Amino acid sequence: MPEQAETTARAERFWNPYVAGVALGLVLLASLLVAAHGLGASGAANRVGVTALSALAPAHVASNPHMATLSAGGHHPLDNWLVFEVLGVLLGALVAAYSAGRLKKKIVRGPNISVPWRLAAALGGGIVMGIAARLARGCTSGQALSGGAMLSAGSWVFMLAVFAGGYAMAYFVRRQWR
Amino acid sequence: MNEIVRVHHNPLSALGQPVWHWEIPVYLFLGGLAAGVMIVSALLARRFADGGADASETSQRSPWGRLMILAAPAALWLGMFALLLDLDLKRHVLRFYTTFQLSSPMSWGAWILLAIYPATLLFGLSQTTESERDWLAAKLRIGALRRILEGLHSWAQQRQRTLTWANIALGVALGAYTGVLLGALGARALWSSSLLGPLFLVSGFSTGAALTMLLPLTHREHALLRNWDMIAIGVELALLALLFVGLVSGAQAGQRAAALFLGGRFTAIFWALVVVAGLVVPLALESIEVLRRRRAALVAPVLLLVGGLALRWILVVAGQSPLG
Amino acid sequence: MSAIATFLAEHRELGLLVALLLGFGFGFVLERAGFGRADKLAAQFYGSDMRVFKVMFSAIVTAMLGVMIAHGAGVIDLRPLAEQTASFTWLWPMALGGFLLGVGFIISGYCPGTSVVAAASGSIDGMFTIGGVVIGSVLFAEAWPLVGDFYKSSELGHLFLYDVFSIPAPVLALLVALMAVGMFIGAEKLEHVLARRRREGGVVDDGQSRALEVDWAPRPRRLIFGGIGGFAVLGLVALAAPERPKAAPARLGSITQAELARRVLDRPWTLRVLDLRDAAACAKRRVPGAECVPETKLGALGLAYAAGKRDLVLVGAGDLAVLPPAVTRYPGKVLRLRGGFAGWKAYALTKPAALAAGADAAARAEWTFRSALVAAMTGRKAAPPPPASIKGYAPKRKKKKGGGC
Repeated sequence: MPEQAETTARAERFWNPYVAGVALGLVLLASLLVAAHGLGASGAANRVGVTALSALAPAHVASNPHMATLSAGGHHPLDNWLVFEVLGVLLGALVAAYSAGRLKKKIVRGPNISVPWRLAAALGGGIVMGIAARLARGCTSGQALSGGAMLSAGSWVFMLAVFAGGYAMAYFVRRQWR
Repeated sequence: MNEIVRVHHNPLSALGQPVWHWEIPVYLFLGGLAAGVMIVSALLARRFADGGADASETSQRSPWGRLMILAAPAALWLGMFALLLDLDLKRHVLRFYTTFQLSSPMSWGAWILLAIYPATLLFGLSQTTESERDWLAAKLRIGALRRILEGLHSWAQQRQRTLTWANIALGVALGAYTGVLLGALGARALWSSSLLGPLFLVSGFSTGAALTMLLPLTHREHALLRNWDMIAIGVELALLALLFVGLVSGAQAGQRAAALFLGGRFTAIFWALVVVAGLVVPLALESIEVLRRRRAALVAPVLLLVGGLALRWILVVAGQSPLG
Repeated sequence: MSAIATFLAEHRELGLLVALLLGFGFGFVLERAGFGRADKLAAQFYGSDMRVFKVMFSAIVTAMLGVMIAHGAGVIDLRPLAEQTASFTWLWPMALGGFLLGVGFIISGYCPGTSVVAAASGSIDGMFTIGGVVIGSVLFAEAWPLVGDFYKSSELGHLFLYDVFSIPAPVLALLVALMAVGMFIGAEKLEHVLARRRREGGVVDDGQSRALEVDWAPRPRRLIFGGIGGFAVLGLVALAAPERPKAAPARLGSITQAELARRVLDRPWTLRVLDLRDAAACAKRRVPGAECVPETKLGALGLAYAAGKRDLVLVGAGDLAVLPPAVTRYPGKVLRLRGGFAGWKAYALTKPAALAAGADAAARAEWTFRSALVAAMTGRKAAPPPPASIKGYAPKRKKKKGGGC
């Protein structure tokens, strides 16, 4: 990195949660009205995984009924609404973090956990969420947020279950965060 | 009397069989990168030479910034290796050098490429310090090398001005040649635009600056590169707009080629990867860096490099695809 | 669907670019909300900071009320939009999936969406979580033979809370908004109580910033509560607005054989002809360009989501007595062919009777047209039957499998 002579401003504060929530709701509303599509995330991760796997073992992917549906319609698995949306999420978060002075290589962890354990927890939790999101046909963005705003019964069941799962597990992993 | 329109779409590509795969875009990208590094390094050296020999902080140069030009021959070598993989008849390479045709860009390009190696290496050598030359000679354990290096160094330093301009000129030639090459190789409506040369040149400049900005530079070096890069991105966006305006208002084949990017099957990937992720977002990040005095981040240069590769890749693939 | 959404559905590539822009806004707001920070997210589950809850529910309430207002203003139709954007309800898979997602959330500190935001702001742990989500998705697909049956179990179709409770949707939306405001107040109280014994939260391993969170000023809070209240009132107005008659009489009509013949020959692109007779009869002979769609399969066409630019022409065996319910939601014109296929056969496939001597010019022109028509229709070999499914206009189907997220 260049040795900067310029003074670096301190990281900005986060937005008021209600302001942020309404802004988030307006983005979601725009998505529902303009694109007739909810916002999502885990669907794109699924497509990335299947693409990577099909590069290694194409026949295997084609024979799996769950994965084969992703390239239905003749489009590449990555040629998809959610993939472009998540690319946008990446860029938007990048610009937001940089302009707020928060773009920095870091590992966010609790005070009593070592770096390797934190990274193992991040990976392991991710794997559990990957399985969970496929089972529920979506994650907190696609099911809870988008489906919840459309008052879908399944989405509200999902959302309550997420909070239940989080609170149920919180006690057992408190060493990680406290 | 009937006018014969020569701008047509190659029937080979209409069959839907792409002739070129990853090798050509990678070659074009690395060639543009080498051109950009040459121009950027030469311009930087010129800027700092003006400052005189005073040892104030602003005239300090980082070793990375000084020696960056050596990345140009390396990138070019890699690119030519990729090109070689693409050639069916590898031995034919030599034929480029046994004939010279004034009207053939490929022939021109072959000779430009050949001139770049000595130009960049000599320029790089002229930028070295004595201890760096000592280190190199000691590392290679060749006794005579020490004297040869010193001789070449003083020869090159006396011709510093000439070498600087030679590197800028060769860089511009190489950068434009990577764009003209596409138009010369296939009669595709998309590639025959005369704007492709300038477009690839400016994009190459931007990627060259981006690659340099990945290194630990001094503050002034970085600020200069960043400002040049912001101008280059602006020019590149304007050239892209002109390219499409030209295609849309031109012959029918051109209109159909432009339609691939204006609603056709390359629309989303082109605008997302090349324009938004590869140009607009880096420009925004660099503007924020200036306006809000943020520490420079490596992300903007990385995005520029990705966008530069995507530009060439998509143009090469789209040029070979059947028109919709 | 709104007019823009219809336009985007027809221009797929443009729709993808809109997705990019919407995602940009989504990522920007998530980052500014603090959702790129695992410690902030995890704090939700230790009661010290209810940020996740507040942001999520303000967002849901905002979008929900916005959709209700758009519905009341006639911009969209609630149910078709809801059916397109939300997935089916599979009760137990979703409950278990949600529970597991919550478990993974507190272990990793992120949810799949926020891990992308964290990675974009430089968190290595966020990148690891993304990798985990990718691996987990693939593992799920690999385990398909084991989990497939459960995955498809307890399918309840499209089920919305207003159906479950049998309350009109805007009323339910109001109730949800009121409940959310009540829970916001409760969350503030809870935070206040817990704040007294709050300890320092997590550390951020960037060697520099440690204290980041300063409590935000209370004024915007009142502003937002006021805003939600105002929004809710607007929702009430939307509710009070009379249900607009959706099936305007002008949209439904009929078409004579002569009109149809001329349009099929001159402007076939303005029409979409659906032959509702059984497949065998239709495959044998039909109006040129017609799709063979037996009445039972009409639902699969997703006519409610079609653009509606082309006029829909329905061909029955004879006159169609009742309009099938699936076509009434077609946004464009729906025309019944008078006399059905029998009438068409008599008009376009049977030679016209010889013209009486002394017929006027109009009758002569009509006769010439009919003879030409019959010659064209019968002299030509029947084209192979076109596929019945229509590309791109059945988004519901695709959605079910991919998952909404």
